[in-house]
Amino acid sequence: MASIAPNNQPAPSDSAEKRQLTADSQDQPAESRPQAAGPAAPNAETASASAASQSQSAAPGQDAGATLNAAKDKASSAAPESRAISAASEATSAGSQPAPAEAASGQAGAAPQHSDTSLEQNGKAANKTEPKAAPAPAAKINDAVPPPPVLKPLPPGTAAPRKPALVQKSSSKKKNKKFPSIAPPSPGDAAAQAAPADDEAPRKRYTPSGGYYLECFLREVVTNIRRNPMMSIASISTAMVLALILGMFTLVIANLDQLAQELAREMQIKVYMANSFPSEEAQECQEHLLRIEHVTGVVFVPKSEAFAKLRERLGGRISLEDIEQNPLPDAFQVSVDDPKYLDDTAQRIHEITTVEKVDYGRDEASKLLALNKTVRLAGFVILGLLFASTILIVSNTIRLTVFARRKEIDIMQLVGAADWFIRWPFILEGVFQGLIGASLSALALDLGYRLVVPHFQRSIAFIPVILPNAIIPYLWLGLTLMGCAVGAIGSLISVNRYLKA
Amino acid sequence: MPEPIIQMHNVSLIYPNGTRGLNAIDMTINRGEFVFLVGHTGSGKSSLMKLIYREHDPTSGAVYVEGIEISDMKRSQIPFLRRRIGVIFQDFRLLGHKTVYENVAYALQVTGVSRYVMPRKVNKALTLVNLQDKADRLPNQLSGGEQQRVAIARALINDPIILLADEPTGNLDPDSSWDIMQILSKVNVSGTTVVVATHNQQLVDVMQKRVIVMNRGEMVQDVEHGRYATSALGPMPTL
Ligand SMILES: Nc1ncnc2c1ncn2[C@@H]1O[C@H](COP(=O)(O)OP(=O)(O)OP(=O)(O)O)[C@@H](O)[C@H]1O
Ligand SMILES: [Mg+2]
Repeated sequence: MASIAPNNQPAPSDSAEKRQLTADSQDQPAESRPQAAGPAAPNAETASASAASQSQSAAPGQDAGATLNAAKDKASSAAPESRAISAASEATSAGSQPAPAEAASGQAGAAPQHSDTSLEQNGKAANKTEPKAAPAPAAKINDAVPPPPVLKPLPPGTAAPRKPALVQKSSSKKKNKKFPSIAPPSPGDAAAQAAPADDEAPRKRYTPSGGYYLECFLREVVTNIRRNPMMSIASISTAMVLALILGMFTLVIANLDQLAQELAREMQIKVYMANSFPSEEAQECQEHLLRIEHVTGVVFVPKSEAFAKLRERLGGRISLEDIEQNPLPDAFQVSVDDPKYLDDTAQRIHEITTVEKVDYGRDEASKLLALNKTVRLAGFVILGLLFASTILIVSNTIRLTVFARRKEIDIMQLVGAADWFIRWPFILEGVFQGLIGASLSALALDLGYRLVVPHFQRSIAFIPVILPNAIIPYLWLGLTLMGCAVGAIGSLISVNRYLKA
Repeated sequence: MPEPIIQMHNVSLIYPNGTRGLNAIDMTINRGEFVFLVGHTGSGKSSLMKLIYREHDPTSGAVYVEGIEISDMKRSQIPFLRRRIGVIFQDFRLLGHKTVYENVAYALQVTGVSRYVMPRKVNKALTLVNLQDKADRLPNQLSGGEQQRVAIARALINDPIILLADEPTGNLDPDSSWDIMQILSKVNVSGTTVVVATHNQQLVDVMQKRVIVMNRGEMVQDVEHGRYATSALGPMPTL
């Protein structure tokens, strides 16, 4: 291919051509005004035709030899050229002003402003060498031209030595990393990227950071929500309602579970000692019982205390005064760490010789344990189903909102947005919507629960309601995390679908 | 020495629904050229352009941009190709929820351009197409011609090496059309390769640029310094 062979056109002639072009195009704005007024004006034809032929003769010169000299030459000739073009663009853009004033203002205005019109940069782009022939000088030119001072009338040659090879190398490396363009050493990208950076050149070199993109994305999210509030409201309210239902069920099920556990926990093993059991050994026996596996607490109830309790309970209706000897045995109340070990532990205690009788309400215990299991299982199933449908509905809603914007996704891709650049605002928007929806519902549940719990405690005091502070923080945490996750994943999946299409 | 910047080798494009968009196109456009693409409606002008910025892949044949076969290009590389090609879409393709300013700025943002430079660049581009006063409007608050000019500003903002203009004057009055042509010429003079699809006979005749004539998906004529050759267009497709 022609592009691979380096062009050996001598450098001097190349720069001569450029100067000629410069002169020509500088004249152009003044000349081209009538053209805009009268479409078929003959001088329009010649002007643009000559401009074109200039550009074509200029083009081959661009890839002139890879020597440093050539680069210098080009750089110096490029400076006036881009000045001229920016002047030209000023002139066209200025609309309906009279022609001469305009041309003058164009030229006067361009230099002090070191203007950054796209046309001017196209001027720079014009100087770029083709990728394969001589990438290095190309980048150098692009770097050498733009710094603002160059645009002030400088004697040719002043601009060239400004950029040592080192600078060029590092900047092109940076660019290749950030903008891996199609052709590895890519002058086009260098031009496009160098140009904006060079506007700021004296102050600082700008490389986009994570923060830059984050700000970009957040702005995007905010404007999207502002301009398209109905979509956001739909997503947020869906998320809210579902989180509300989910949270409510969580609270109910957690309380039922707590109730079942509490009941089970209150089950104790009552150990009645034989009559022969000497009360002095109570301490010893207690320690022995405590050493049994799963036993968490042992309370000694001496026969005297049991007798007193009995008397109290009978409330004096039956006189116990006649009974001289306390008929009740010494007893221990043994609690275990988990109700399911009641049976086992009771068995073991019964094996102790001094133990007369062990009692733990076997039937009640097994019923309670079964209830406990049922509550848990039902809770998991219900919450699981709710969770699944929540995810489904929320991600469907998100999918609809993304679907409504699939054309935009297409357009974003067509103007050169990378996938991640398109994806992130959608993800953030999903996170935001999920978060807001979940937070609103968490807030509602928070307030509601705090309002309801005291009522419960007053009316049915024996039910051990979970205290708000023991569960509400977890509810907040769980719901908001879930909202974020569902929002993010829902958006991600839907956007990806339209990105691949 | 001309350096090819867009090349097509025996390119055909058949749309998924079976429509033949392009048939055996062989074409070379050199760096810095200004090319008109003319032909009846449905002759494949837009299809040809879509292959260059890779909205579609050719069904057969190969498309090269700057010597690189773009259908070989990895997916992740496509955005970088597109940033170097400015496209003025026939249907504008503006982002409906973004203002004029934001639409133009978006093309800069995707490249990570500094926010300090962005306003100046965007405003220059908008001034160039004479839309500086409407920067805060949404596209649906603009006339067709104004939307078209937004599309032009956006296509130019990244200083593309190739500018593909699909009917850039389709919605403009003659004066505005000439202004746009002036802009395109200047972009071309500064080194950008410009390809313009148009039905505007007067523009083509006056500009005296290379003219490629399409008919039913085929290239039927290719003349340097050509005119809008009505005879070469062939019969109108039956509507
Ligand atoms: N996405 C598509 N799916 C199927 N067929 C298509 C698609 N796009 C274009 N075509 C068909 O391909 C052919 C060429 O279309 P294309 O858009 O390239 O024409 P055009 O020359 O740009 O026409 P116009 O001057 O009206 O813009 C037409 O017959 C058209 O119907
Ligand atoms: Mg078309």
